[in-house]
Amino acid sequence: MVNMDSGHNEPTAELNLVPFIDILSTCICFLLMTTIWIQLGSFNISQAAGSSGAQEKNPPSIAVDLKPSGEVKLTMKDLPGHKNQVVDSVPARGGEIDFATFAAKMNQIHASYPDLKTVMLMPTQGIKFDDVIKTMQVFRDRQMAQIGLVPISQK
Amino acid sequence: MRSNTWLQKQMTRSPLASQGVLRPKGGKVNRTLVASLMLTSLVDAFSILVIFLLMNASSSTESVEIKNPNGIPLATNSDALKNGVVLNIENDKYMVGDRAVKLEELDTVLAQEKLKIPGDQAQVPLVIKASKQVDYKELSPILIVASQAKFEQYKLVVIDQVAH
Repeated sequence: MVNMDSGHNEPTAELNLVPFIDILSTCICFLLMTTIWIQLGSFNISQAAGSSGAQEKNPPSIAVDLKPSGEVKLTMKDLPGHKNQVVDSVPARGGEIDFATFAAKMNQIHASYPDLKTVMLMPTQGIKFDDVIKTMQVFRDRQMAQIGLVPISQK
Repeated sequence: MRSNTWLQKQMTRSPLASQGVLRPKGGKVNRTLVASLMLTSLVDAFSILVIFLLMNASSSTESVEIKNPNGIPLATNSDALKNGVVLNIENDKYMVGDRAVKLEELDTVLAQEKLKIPGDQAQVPLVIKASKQVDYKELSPILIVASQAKFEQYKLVVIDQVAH
């Protein structure tokens, strides 16, 4: 809409903002209803299916035993340059798993054995699900994503 | 401004201009002050809000309905949550959908739910949702039962945080 000022011959154009605001309001209402505020993710578990051939060379693996006392026992197998298992542990801190020390220990292990990708988590009764996730997080942060969960043995 | 708009009738004359001695603008002094609505700022705010919501919108085409996400463990660098059979552990019960299932019946129920999902059955994951305080002794039987129900993929639900 062009309006002419009576005193001057300069045309002035007006922009009707009301429909534009209507459109924006509709967009905002739609997006507010469809926006995902909590982003869910997942941790994949690699469970063993069947047994591998006896002649195949087993890849380096680490078994992580989470104890209710907070101690974490690490047992590494088939490491290059080691015929026997390598056992290590992370002592508990305040009756809980010391994830800071555990992460630092895993940094050393990962730096020493970069081909170590296979992880077997063996939590026991009394271990919280959150601790399992945090332990998996430590390995995932170091690109050790082949994590398997071992059920509690029924004795 | 001499344009013929609806605001013209409501627009007040400048108080200073009305007090001019030589040539007061406007014959009658109108003491009524009416505030005009500044739409520009409102449009700016709406535009920023729309852009923010568009950036925040998820581009994932698959969705998994998870009720009550409170208490789910937090994690970073997690994988995308695929559509699958959702098993919820809450209050010492195993919930598949809205019904509680006993451990003895869980393998049958999981196998039935798996068949309902179209596509390659080998790629249908078992999505396990549990709160932080759930003991591992409740999760452990699921791993055995799920293998009996021929599940090959397992996913633990976490709330994805942006890594700092």
